[in-house]
Amino acid sequence: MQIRLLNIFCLLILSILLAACSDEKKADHTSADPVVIGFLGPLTGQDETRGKDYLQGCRFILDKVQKEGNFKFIELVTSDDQNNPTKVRESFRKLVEQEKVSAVLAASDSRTMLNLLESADQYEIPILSLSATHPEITESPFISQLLFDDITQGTVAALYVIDEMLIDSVAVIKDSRDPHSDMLAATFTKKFIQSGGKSEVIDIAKFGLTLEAELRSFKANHIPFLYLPMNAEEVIETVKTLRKIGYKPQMMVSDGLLGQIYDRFHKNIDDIDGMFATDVSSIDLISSAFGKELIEEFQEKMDQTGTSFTLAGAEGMMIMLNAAKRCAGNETPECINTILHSTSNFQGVFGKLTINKEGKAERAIYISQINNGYMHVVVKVY
Amino acid sequence: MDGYVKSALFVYTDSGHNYLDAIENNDHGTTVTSVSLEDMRKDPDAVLSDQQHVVIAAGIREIKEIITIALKYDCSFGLLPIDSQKSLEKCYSLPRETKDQIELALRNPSKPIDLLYCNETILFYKGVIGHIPLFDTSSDTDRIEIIWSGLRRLFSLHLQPFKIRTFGKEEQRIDTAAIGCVVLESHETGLLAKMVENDCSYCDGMITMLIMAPFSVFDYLKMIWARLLGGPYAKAMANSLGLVRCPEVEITTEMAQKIIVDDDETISTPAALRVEPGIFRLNTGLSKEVLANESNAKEKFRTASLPEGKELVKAREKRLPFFTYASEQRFKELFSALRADTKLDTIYVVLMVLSTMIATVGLYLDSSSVIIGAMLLAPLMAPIISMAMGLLRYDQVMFNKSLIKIVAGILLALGASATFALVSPYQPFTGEMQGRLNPTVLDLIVAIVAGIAGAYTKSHKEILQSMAGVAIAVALVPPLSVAGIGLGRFDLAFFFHAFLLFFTNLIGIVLAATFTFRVLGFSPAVKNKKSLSIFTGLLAVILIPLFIAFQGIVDRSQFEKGWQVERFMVNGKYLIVEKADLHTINNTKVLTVDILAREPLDRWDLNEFKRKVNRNFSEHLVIRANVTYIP
Repeated sequence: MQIRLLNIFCLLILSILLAACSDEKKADHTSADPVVIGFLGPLTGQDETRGKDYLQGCRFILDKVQKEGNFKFIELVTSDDQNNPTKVRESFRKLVEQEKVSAVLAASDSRTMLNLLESADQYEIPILSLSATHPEITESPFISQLLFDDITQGTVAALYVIDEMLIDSVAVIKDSRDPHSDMLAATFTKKFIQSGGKSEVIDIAKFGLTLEAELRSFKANHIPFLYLPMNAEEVIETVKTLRKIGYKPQMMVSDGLLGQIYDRFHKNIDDIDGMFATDVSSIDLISSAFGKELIEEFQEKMDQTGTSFTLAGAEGMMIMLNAAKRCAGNETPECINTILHSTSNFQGVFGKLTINKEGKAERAIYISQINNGYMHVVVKVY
Repeated sequence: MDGYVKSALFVYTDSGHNYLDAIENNDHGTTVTSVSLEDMRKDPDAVLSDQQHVVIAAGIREIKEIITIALKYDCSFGLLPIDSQKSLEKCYSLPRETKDQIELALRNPSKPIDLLYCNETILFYKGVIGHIPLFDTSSDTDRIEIIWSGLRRLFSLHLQPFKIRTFGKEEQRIDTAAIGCVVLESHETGLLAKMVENDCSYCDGMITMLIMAPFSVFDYLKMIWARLLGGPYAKAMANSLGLVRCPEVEITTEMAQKIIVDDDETISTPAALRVEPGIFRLNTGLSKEVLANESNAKEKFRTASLPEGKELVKAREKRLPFFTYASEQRFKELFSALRADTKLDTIYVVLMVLSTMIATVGLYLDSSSVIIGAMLLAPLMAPIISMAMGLLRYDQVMFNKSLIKIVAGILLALGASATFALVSPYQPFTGEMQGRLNPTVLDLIVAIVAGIAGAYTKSHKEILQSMAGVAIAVALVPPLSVAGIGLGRFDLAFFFHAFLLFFTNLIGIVLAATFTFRVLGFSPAVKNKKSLSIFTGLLAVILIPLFIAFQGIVDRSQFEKGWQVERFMVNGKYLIVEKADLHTINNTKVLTVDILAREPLDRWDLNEFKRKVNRNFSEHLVIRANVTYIP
């Protein structure tokens, strides 16, 4: 009798354990509705290549994770905004209303993303910006950034120039039509002057300004350093003018410039040789062992070298999947947004990364020198 | 300008037939009568009686046959080498082109040179008696084949008894053991020729014979290697070589040894070698120096390094060992010195105590020069080297005495330094002490190299003064002193870390010295295998902490190097990390950073700095910051 009771008891325990195991599996893998993540970025138009690189990185990570047996319930849908401020809202609306996305990875730049603040607040869908670094983007509680913002970048650049290069007189050339450029120039100048330096600023968007005349004036004043927070086209134009007038100051550009040059102006790669650049990293500056492994895997599977945009896309998707995983069973936009805003010490492709409650990324900034089309680390600023 | 003979007889075999047209239609005005060897054999008198100059194109044996016959008619000679006769070409510096060969062969007059005979067979360029791998194969054989077959045979070599009797102005009898002898005529080219001083000629009326008697395969290879290197070193006579130069030699062996003459003819011992001075008038391309007439050439006998007496008996017993075996008779002086080093006497005790005291004070003062003085004074290296020899030769007395002496030295050193630490009111922790608390694999490498150097230096009394350098390199007493200080302070971690360094040195030196003595030939094998196993086991055990410590150093170095580019922005202030130093204190990792800043840092800034370091590097780092302000 005792043995019979013991057998029943064991059977009961075994059943409970099996049931528990079975429930756990269901929670992880077989959720009834898939979680839909949207990709919003330039998939056509002038920035098509860059947008597709971001998307390729996202897809690579999603495939990799799904093949490993996790997150089979994640679905990635795309919407093309052409990096156009006037189209971005509509593209976003499509993702939310038609595709019912729970979160969005956005690959457009600051000018476009600033137009999305209202929509983000309206739909309350979390957005992780892969590219935009303007500080006002995170004024929406639903938008967080993958990269450091322009205030951090501009401040680091100014302090590096004055404290480490020991240069106390600079000129800044900006394009006020681009909020990213405008913000970087303003931050750099403010910090540089606060630290005891002198700074002259010119705006190439200003009516009636002649770049050559301004540069001649800098040359005459023996200004040894130019800070150029502009896009690739404008930087190349400036370099050509400098060459024309025989002026050889040291120069620093902002994040993503080398990527833009590779993307659209590859033949001009030598024009930026010797320039300093602030960036999150680059293809030859991968600091984490995980990042190096990922690049090798990418090259092996895709038979091509990923760009820095591809890696940023991959890193963004990793963070998004991490948030979805932590919300397992409750993958609502609200939960994902909360988790995104509390990402701490995440081991990303370029190193460790924290996203604070304001949605701003805290991560190292690399100051590098461009030589033969590669960025060589000079210092890494935390 | 040289003239040419008016007429000549061209004797050829099938292999030399291709010269026929060219020599008959020569440009030098010489009337050539051609005859095949077969026809000449039928009636040599008819063919040769009217001839004064004979040109030969045939195989080596046939050439010798023709010369033997033609010498009876007082003929001079010219040689037209066939394709396979590279050695003959080299021996007499014969040209490569047919036109030039014919030009030389028909020249007049011909220079008389010596002719060597081995058991009445003419020897042109080389005779090998016995087994001499790499040299007894025909020079015309493929080089890879020569090396391969030579290497295979290296390991089956035996020293064979050779009785050599020389005749001339001095008559000598040499009883020795050798792997073989080489008789040389050509001294200008080839590896063997490099082993002989180039002071003999083709006209000195002498036979030059090398007696090859290596004590080991290693010795043999070393000799070849030295010759391959060339330069003045190659000319020095090797220990395993004997040289005989005289007009006539007789060689007898216990067992018949094969004799290869000119890579061609094989006969066997006994061998009778003689030289007929100046009977061979041959047109050669040899230089005037080699052809200088040295009628007063001196006989030479360099046989001091050849085995004799007891060595001869021992050498005959076994196959040639891989490493040289040195008899106690040969290294008597060294063994006496090593035995003397095992004696535990007052001098040792006094020096041990004094060197420890000096080292301990040096450690307290953090003075490397004082510590080096202690290293020089320390007598600990000598018994360790003796112990290595005792281990190698299974000399129990030497091994035990050395061990007792070393243990006594250790106890003395620990006691002296512990007493000093115990009574001293001053208890510093200096850099010199710290440097001896983290032994790594690198310390073991130093000990091994020092052990090799110690054994090598001890084996060569002419470089004994280098022992001081070895003592400094390996530094035995300072770690013992640090260990003693640890004991005196009742700090066992301190003691164990420092003692591990000493023990690493001890094991490294003993094993390295043992194998060095082995390679130098002080024993045919490591005889005390049990003790060797114990030492090897101990080495394996200490390797674990040494590797862990080494990995720690590598990680630390990479970490510190990485900090060369690290910068921090804390609360809008830019911090330049000038230097970072990571060390472990009581299992806690402490990072000390030297920071350059332009603005004053308050505690919030430093807290933010700490937070960033902990977040990006490790949560478990204790951070110390030295801040320097940029003006």
